[in-house]
Amino acid sequence: MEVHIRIDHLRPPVGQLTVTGQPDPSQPAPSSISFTGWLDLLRALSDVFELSGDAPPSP
Amino acid sequence: MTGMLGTSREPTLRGRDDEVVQLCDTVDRAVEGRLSVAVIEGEAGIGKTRLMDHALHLARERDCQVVTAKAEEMEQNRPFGVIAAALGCTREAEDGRRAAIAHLITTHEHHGHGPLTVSSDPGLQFRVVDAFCDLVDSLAIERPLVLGLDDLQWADPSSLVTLAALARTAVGLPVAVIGCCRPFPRPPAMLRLLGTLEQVGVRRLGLSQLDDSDVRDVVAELVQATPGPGLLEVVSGAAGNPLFVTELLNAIEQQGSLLKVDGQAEVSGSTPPPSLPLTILGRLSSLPEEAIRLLRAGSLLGSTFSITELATVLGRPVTDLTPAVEAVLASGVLDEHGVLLRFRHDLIREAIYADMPSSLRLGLHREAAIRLAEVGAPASRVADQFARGATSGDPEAIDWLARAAREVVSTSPETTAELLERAVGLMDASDPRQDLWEVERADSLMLAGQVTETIEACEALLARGHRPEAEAPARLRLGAALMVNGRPAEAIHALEGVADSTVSEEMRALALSEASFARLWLGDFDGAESAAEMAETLSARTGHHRAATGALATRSVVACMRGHLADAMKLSDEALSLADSSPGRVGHAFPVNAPRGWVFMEQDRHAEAVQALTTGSRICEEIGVRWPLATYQAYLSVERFVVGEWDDAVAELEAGVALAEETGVTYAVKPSHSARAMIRLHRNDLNGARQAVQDAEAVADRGSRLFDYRVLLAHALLLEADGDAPQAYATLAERWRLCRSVGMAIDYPAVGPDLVRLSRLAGDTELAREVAEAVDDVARRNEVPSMTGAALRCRALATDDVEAGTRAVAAYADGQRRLEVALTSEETARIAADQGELDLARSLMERAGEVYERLDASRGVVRVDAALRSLGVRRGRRGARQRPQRGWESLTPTEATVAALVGEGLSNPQIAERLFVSRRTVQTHVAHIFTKLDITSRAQLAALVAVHAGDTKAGVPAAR
Repeated sequence: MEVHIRIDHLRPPVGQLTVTGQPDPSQPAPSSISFTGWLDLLRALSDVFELSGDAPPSP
Repeated sequence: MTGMLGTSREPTLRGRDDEVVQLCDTVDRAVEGRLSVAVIEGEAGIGKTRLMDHALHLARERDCQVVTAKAEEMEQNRPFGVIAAALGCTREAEDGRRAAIAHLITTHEHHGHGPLTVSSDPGLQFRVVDAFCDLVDSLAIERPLVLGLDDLQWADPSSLVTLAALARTAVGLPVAVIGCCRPFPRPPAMLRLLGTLEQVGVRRLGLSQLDDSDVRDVVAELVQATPGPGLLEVVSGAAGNPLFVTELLNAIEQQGSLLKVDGQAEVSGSTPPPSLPLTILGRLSSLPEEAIRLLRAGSLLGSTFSITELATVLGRPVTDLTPAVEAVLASGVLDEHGVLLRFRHDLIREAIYADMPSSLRLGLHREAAIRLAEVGAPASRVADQFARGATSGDPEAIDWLARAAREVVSTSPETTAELLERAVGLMDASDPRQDLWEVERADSLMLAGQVTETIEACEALLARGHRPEAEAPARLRLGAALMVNGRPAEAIHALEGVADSTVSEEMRALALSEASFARLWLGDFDGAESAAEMAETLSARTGHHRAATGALATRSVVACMRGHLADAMKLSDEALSLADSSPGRVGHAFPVNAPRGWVFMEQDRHAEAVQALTTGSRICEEIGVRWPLATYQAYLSVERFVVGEWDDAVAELEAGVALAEETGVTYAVKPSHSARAMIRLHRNDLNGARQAVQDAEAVADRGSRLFDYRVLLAHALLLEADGDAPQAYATLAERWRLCRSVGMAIDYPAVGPDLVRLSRLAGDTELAREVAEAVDDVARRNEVPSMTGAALRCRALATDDVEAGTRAVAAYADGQRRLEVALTSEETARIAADQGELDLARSLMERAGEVYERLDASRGVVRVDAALRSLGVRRGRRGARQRPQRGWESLTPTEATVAALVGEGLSNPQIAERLFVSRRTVQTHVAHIFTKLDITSRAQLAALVAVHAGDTKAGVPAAR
C-alpha cells in the first residue's frame, strides 16, 4: 500500500491524501481524501493505517 | 478515547515553592485585613491557572470568600464581563447588590445608532465602577475576600478600570486580588492597570519553565513509574512547560508507546516530540468526525460558549448535537461551566483554531456572524465575529462594530473607543466616515476620563491627511482636552481653526465657548468675555446648551475675577438654570457648579459653596462625565481651607490631586496646591510648603495664569519665613502691578494685607496705600464680610489703625475666615502694644493664639506665645505644642470620627454618606489614620478603636 500526500498549503496543511495498492481487495479502488488542517490529515492517516492493520505514524 | 487527557488529570503542583509562599502571604495579608495584589505571569500552559487555583484553595481553607472568573478572548467587548462574572453580578442574583449592578450594566445602553457626541446620553461607567467597589467593600467587611481572575490579557477594559479602582480604594480592606496573564498581548488598558497595581505594591510572579528535576517528578506521577532516560529525552522537548509535558505523555500513552517494565516507564521508538499544538491535535484526531466539527465551530466562538450558539453557528438543531457534545465532554476537551461549554485549556482551543486555514476561518467567522445576527445575538458578539471574519473595507463588519461601540458607550466608553478603532482599522483609506469616527473615538476617550489619550487621538488625526470636514471637530475636541489638561495657550491655538465661517454655527458656538474658557485661564479676561458673548449669541440661534452654559459660566468667572461678585452670581444663576433645564442635563457637561461654588466661597456663603460643589460633582457622576470631578474636588479642598477646616482640606486636596493625575485633568489643581502650601507653611512644614509651591508652579508653567497670585503669596510668605522679607516684598510688588493691569481684583483682598505689611516693612508706604485703596474699592463693591475685613486690615496695617484692625477681626469672623481672624488679631495686637494699649494687645494676642491652636498652626502659636511673654502673659501649654505625628492623639477630629465609624463596621461609602464627603476623601482619611497609627488594616483599627473607647470609659488616659 502506498500513501501519497499532496500539500497545497503548508500551515496548516491542506491537500489531498491518496492511497494506492490496497492490501484488501474487498476495499474500494484507490481513493483520495481531502484534508484541511492537521486534524483532518491525522484522522485520514489513522483511518488508512487502521485499514491496513499497521500502526499509524505519530504526528 | 482513552488516556489521561480524558480524565483531565493534573499533576501535583511542582517547582513553584517560592511562588506558593508569596501567594500564601498574599492571602494571609488579606486575612489580616490588608489589601494585597498578586499577578501571575507566564506563557500559556506554564501553570498560571494551576498556581492560582492552589492559592484560592488556601484562601478557602482560611475561611475567605473566594470569587473567581476567567476572561474570554472573544468577549473583550463585553463591559465588565470578567469582574461581573467573578462577583456573580447577574440580574438573577439573589443578592440585591449584585443584581443592581447587573441591572446598571445591562439597562443603560445607548441604542441610538448615530454618532456619539458629548451631548449623547453619556455613560454611567464609573457609577458601575463605584458600585463594584462598594460591593467589594461591603463583602470584605463581612469576611476576607479573595478575587481570582484568570487570563486577564483578554479582560475587557471596563473590568480592568474596575480592578484599578479597587486597588486604589480597597487599601486597608481584607481583600486579595490574584490575577493571571500571559506576557502577550498587553493592551493599553492592561498596561494602565499594571501601572496602578505597581503603586499599591503588586507582587508580579513570573513563571518560568520547570527544571529537569521537577519535570521528572511530574512524569513519574503521571505515568506512576520511574521515567526511563528515553522517556525523559522525549519529554525534554516540552521545554519544561507542564501542560506540554502532560499532553505529550497523554499522546504517548494513547499511541500505546508507553512501556512499563519493572516499575520503569519508557517510550517505544525515539520519535522526537512535536509541537504542543500538534500533540494536542494528534490526540483529538481520534474523536468522531462530528465532534471535531463541533470543536472547530466552538473554537470560533471562544473559550466559552453556549450550546445554543454552537447550534446557531452550525445551522443545526441543538438536539442533533447531543452525541457530539457528549463525546467531547467525555474526552475532557470541553467541560461544563454552568450552562456553558468551555475548552479545558485555552491552548486546546487555540490549537484547533489555528488548524484552520485563515481563509477558511474568515469565511466561518463571517457565516457565524450572519447566523448570530439572524437570531438577534448581542451586537458585541455579532460584531466580534464580523470583525474576525472581515477583510479590509468589509461594510457589514464596520457597521456592526460601530453599532456595538455605540451600544456600550454608556457603560464602557473605553470599549467604545476600542471598537471604533477596530472599525476604522477595517475601513479603506477612502472611506468618508473614517476621520469622523476617529473624532467619535476621541469623544469616547474623553468620556472615559482619558484626557491624555484624547489629545493623542486628535493630534494623530490632525497630523495625517484627513477630510476637511473632520478638521473642525477634531480641533474642537483637541482644544477642550488641552484646556482641561492645563494647557490653555495650546488649546486656543487648536481652536483657532474652528472659528471660521465654513463650519456650522453650532460648532463655532462650542469652539468659542471653549476658547473663552481657555482665555479666562490665560488671564485674558477681555478676550474671554468677548468670545463668551459671541458663543452665547450663536448658542441662542442654534440651541446648543453645552456651549451656552460654558459661555455663561465663563463670563461668571470673569466677573468674579474682576471683583464683581453680584454680577458673577447672576450669570452663574443663568448658567445653572440653563444646565438644569437642558435635555438630559447635558449642560452640566461643563462644570457649571464649580465657578458657582467659587463665587459662593468668595461671598463667604460657605454652606452654599459646599452644596454647589458637591451637587456639581454628583450630577457629573450621574450623567457620566468624568473629567470635571477633579475640578470639583480641588475647589472643595480650597473651600475647606478657607473656613479653617484644614485637616479635611488636606484630605480633600490629596484626593483631588490623585484624581487629577489619574484623569489628566490638571487645570484646576493650582489653588489646591497653594492652599496646601499655606497650610504647611502655617504648620511650620516649610519643606512641604516649598514642594506645594513647586507643584503649583508646575501647573502654571504649562500656561495657566489664574490663581497665580495666590501661589505667589505662598512663595513670598515662604521667603519671609526664611528671613528674606525684602525679596518677599519685591516678589509680591512686581506681581501686584501685573495683577492690576489685567484687573484680577478678586485677588486683592486675598493678597493685599500681606503686601501692605511687607510694603511697610520695606518702607514703600506709597504701595501700601495704593494696595489698601484697591482692596477697599473691591470691598465697597461687594459687601462681603471677609472683603470688608481685608479692607479694614489693610487700613490697619497701612496706618497703624487699631480700631480698623479690631473691626477687621470681627468682619473676618463673620466671614468664617479663621486664619485671617488669627492673623489680623495678631497684627492688631502688635499695633496696639506699640501704642501702649496693652490690655487690648493681650486680649487680641490671646484670641490669635486660640485660633492658631484650633488650626494647629504651630508657627503662629510660637509667635503668639513669644509676643504674650513680652506682654507679661504666660500661656498654659495646652495648645502651644504641636499635635503629635504618630499615635492616637495625632488623629484629627475628622480622622477620629472616621476611625470610630470604621470601628462600627461601616464601609467607606457608608462613611462618606454619613459625613457628607466623597468616598475618595474617606479613603484619604483612612490612609492617614493607618500611617499615623502604624497599622495596615481596618480590623486593626477597629481593635484600637475598641481599646481606646474602653480606656476612655475607664477614665484611663488613651495615650499611645
